[in-house]
Amino acid sequence: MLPQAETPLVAAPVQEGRVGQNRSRTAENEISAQLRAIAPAMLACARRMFREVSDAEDVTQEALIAVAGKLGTLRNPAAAKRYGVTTVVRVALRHRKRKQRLSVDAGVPVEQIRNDTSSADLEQKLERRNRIERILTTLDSLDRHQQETMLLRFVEGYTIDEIADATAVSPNTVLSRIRLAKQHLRRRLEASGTGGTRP
Amino acid sequence: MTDRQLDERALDGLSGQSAPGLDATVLEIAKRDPVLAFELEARDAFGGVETEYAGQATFLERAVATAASGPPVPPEPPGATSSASAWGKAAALTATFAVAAAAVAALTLGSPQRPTANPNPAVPGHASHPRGDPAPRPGPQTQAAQTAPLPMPATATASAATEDRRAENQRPKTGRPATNRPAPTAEELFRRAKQARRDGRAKQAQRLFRRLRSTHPDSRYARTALVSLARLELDALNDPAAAVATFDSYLALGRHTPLHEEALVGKAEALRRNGRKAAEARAWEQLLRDHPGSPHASQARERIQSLAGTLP
Repeated sequence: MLPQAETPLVAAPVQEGRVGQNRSRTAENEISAQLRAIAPAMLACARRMFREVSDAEDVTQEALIAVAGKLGTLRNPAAAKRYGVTTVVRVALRHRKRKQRLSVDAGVPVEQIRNDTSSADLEQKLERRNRIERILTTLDSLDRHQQETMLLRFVEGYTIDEIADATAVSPNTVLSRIRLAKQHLRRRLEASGTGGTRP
Repeated sequence: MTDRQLDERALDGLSGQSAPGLDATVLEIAKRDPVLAFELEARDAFGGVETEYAGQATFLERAVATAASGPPVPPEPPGATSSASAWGKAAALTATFAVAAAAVAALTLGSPQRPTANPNPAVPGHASHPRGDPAPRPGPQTQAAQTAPLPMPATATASAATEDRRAENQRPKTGRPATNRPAPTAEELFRRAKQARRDGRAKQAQRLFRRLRSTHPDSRYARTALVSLARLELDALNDPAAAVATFDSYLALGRHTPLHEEALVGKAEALRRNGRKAAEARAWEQLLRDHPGSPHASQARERIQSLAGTLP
C-alpha cells in the first residue's frame, strides 16, 4: 500500500489567497478598462468648466476615484460615461465653491492659454473663458441641484431623460429643477437688465 | 404641448442656430426671453472650448491607475441595487480592531475584498488609530445617502489633535460643543492637504497628509497621500530624510502600485540630497529593474555611472 501524501496544512489558505489576489487583480483591470473608456469625456467636461488645467485635472482625479468604486454597481453599465460626467460636474461645483471661499484668484490664466495655443486665436479663447466665467457666476445663485442640472444641460447637452438617469431622479424632478432654475434666472437677468451674460 | 416638449424644443431646436449668427440670434431672442438667450449663450460658450492639451494622455493614464488601484467603495450610485444603509450595517458588523501593546492600532472596514491589517506602517512617529474609511463622496446620490462620519476618537495622534485645536481656534464660536463636530473624511483631508500644498502652506499640508495617514490608514487617499507627502517633504520642506522614510512606506506596498515608479525616483532624489550614495545607487538600480521603460531610465543610468566612481 502506497503511503498517502500528506497535505500541508497551509496549502488551502495559500491557494485561496492566490485566487483572491487574481480575482482582485482581474477586477482592478476591469475597472481600469472602464475608467479608461470614460476618463477622456470626464476630463473634457472638467476642462470646459475650468480655466486652469490643474483645476480640471484635480477635479477629474477626484471624480475618477469616486466613480471607480461604483462602476460595478451600476444597473446600466452603458450609462457609466453619463455617471462619470455627472460626477465631474458635481465635484467641479464643489471645487469652485471652495476656491471662492478661499478667495483664490480666478483671473484668466493668460500664460496657460498662451502656452496652449498659437497667438492667432488667443483673444477668442480668452473671451470664451470670460463668457464661461460669467455664465458660471450667474449660475452660482442657484441651489446645488439646479446648478448641476443646468450644467449637465449646458456643458454636455444631455436630454431630460439622460439627466434624470445620471442624477437618479425622475424626469419630472429634472423638469422641476429646470423650471425653478429658469424662474430664478429670469428674475436675476431681468433685474440686472441684461438678456444674457454678455457685458 | 407639455412643458417638457416645450423645453426640449426650445433648447434643442434653437441651439442649432448657434455659431456664426449667434449674436444676432441671441439679441433677437433676448428681447423675448432672457433665459433662453442665456441658455444659448451657455451652450455656445461651453461647446466651443478646446478641451485637448499637451500631457493629457499622461495625466489620464496616471489618474486612471490611481483611481483603479483603490478598494471598491460601498456603493450607492444612481441606478445601484444595494443601499448605503446595508453597506453601513455590513461595515459595522465586520469592522475589527487589533490593538498592539505599543498602542498601534490597525483597522479594517467591512469591505470583503480588503485585508484586515494595514499593509504598510504609518509614517514614522505617527501611530494609527482605529477608524473606518468612509466612502469618497463625490458620486451622484452619495451625498444624501452618506452616513455621518464617526466622531474623532480619544486616541487621535498628537498632530491630529494639534490640527483640531488650530481649526477650533479659527472657527467662530457658536456655543456648540466641539465633540459634536464630525471628524473629516479621508477625502476631505486629502482635498484640504492638496489645497494647502497648492497655496504654499507646506507645513499645514504635511500635518493634514499625516493626519490622513493616521486617521484613515486603509483608504486609497492615504496611500496616494504618501507620495504627495514625501514629495512635499523633499521639495517644499527640504527634509530628505523624512522623505526617504515616507517613500519607503509607499514602496512597501509593492511594485504594482500605481505610483511605484514615481516613488522610486523620489526616493533616489531624496537619498542623493541626503548624501547616501550607495543607497541612491541601489534605488536607481531598482528603478531600472522594475521599470526598464521609465522616462527616468537614462537619468538612472547616468547617476549609477557617476556614483560608481565615487563609491568604495
